[in-house]
Amino acid sequence: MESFHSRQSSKVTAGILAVFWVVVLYLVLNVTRIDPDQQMAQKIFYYHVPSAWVAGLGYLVVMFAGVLYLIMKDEKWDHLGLAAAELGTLFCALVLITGPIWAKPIWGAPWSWEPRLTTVLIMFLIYIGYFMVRNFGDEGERTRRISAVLGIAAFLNVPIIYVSVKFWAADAQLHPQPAMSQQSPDVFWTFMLSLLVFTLLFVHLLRFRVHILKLRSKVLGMRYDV
Amino acid sequence: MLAVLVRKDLLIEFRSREILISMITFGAAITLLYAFSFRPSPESMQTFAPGLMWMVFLFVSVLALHRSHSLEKEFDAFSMILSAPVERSVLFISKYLSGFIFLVVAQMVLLPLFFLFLQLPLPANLAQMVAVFLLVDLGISAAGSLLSGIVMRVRVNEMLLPLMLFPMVTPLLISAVKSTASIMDNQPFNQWKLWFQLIVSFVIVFSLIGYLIYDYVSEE
Amino acid sequence: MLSIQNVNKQFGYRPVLRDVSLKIKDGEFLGLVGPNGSGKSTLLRIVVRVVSCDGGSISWNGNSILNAGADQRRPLLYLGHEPGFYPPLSAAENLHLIAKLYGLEPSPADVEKNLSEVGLDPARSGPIRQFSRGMLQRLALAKALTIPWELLLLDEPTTGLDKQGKSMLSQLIETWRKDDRSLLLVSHDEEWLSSHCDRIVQLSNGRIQRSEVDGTKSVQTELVEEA
Repeated sequence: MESFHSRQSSKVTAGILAVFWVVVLYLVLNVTRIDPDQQMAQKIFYYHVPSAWVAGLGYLVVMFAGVLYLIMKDEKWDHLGLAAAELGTLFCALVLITGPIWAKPIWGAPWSWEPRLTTVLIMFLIYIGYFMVRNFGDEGERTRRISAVLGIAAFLNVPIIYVSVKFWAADAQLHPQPAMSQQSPDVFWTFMLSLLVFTLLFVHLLRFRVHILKLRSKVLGMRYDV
Repeated sequence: MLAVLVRKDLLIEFRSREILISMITFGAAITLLYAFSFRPSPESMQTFAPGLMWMVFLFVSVLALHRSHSLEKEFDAFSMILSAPVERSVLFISKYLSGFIFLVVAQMVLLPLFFLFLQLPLPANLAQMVAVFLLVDLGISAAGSLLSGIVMRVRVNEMLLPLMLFPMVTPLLISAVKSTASIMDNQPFNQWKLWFQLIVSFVIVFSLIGYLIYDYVSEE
Repeated sequence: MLSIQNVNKQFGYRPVLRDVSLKIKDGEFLGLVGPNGSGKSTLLRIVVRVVSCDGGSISWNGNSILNAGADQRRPLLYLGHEPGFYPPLSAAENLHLIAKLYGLEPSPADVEKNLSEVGLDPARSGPIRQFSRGMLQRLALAKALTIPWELLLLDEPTTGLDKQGKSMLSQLIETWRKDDRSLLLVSHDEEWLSSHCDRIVQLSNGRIQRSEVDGTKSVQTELVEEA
């Protein structure tokens, strides 16, 4: 089988990612204006927000893959769901790391029960459970089925979690609510580019992971081919 | 068929008394621990009581959910039910309802104890309190029955169940605590309507998911 | 008639059943033999939808069982390797419950009659948790007397039974033969199996072995024909 990295499309994507990752970094550090209040700390916003976007996107993919798996019972949807769950959780972790890094100098405390951050934390915890079910369940069809169900239930729960956390700690509404359209063009376009690069990174990693999972199941299945 | 299944769970409990006794003793034990740990002032107790209360009920319902599902596995009665002409969605509702009934019965014993030991004043509006409690109990049982159905055949399910359930029910717990606190504070319904609505949406979402999806979860 | 077609099942990546096809005609007693882990029990559990299957179709009298409502399972009764009861309930309560699950309303007298028929004391009211393996097996057989099945799937019914129990089981099976009902029997006791079955099929490594023995009472010796 053709290796993932030797595919034309993978090469192109990887190339674009490598170039634009550096471009974004350069724009963030040298071109975008420095926020008068937050100074350099504000720059993490170009990575924090796209991470959160990708985490949400990942979990959305988990839900759709789950629905498709339950309908079609095709293993490929399980691969997609698992890969997206892993990436969603990875980017959740990035959100949870970059949030406090920013919050420490700005709010004076690394953690605040800000609704978006808290929602991400709860999703992260739910997905730790998800991976435990994956690990403790055997590699069977039932584990795939229940993972699909968990992914669906977890995502449908997001709006309820968000609203409840939002009104629970109404005093913690310190999170900046920037309206992107009001930003200066340098900030706006850099942010948009970063968002694009993160999304592309997500798609690239997702395809890579799905490819590996496919190979893995092929290899594991080979043992029993008679 | 639903009545047959719920009556079965109740009859089993009536015979063995395993679930309710462990729920009530465990709940009473935690309540006592609370009383000993927070003795200083009944006033400050009142601030924390709603949260502490719902944590007790959440822990206690995990006991019930786990026990009721391990009874299904002990002599593999679950396979018998699955092979019988019983729709799985009905099976889900039956587990959901019996879990709800156990929780309500346990609360009827535990709540008075809670108010007594922690020296809390009784809320003026009991009807509101009862309505909120019944709805939250429905929510816990819906999410709990779905999740215990999911983990019942996974290894270490006794550990996985709380691990999955607690983050999943966070919004429900928050809303339960907030509305209980508002009721104990004698606030008008308008002030905490939002929490009530959140509880209702949680109940609807998880009842529907369970009803529609239990078929996929129950088979081995 | 039960028709199983190209049923596949994997546990993890290990195939347990590979393209299994099998037919049981009305009134036919089919025995299924095979070494441990050959997939016999799994096949039975798939037919009654306790275990999901990865592909293939199963139908009873032309109606699909796999993609249909629970009512399609009504003519089938599965007596598994495990007894399938609630340990805190008494024998009579368990039987009564199961009857209700199949939509029946048996009188206490019916339940008592079935209990004594399998050699259990109907007056005994304690929880069945204290029952021995053999007593549980007898109780499981009482299920088969309570529910009007058309196809009975029996997984290792002789386990734990004493000599009397075994002969009682043999008698029961012979009475069922007269009613034109079908039976799918799984056992590793091939001798016992061949004394009761019209046809014996061997399952090994998840595949039906075609060149297998016919039972001594064989009505027809031809092997599984594909549809």
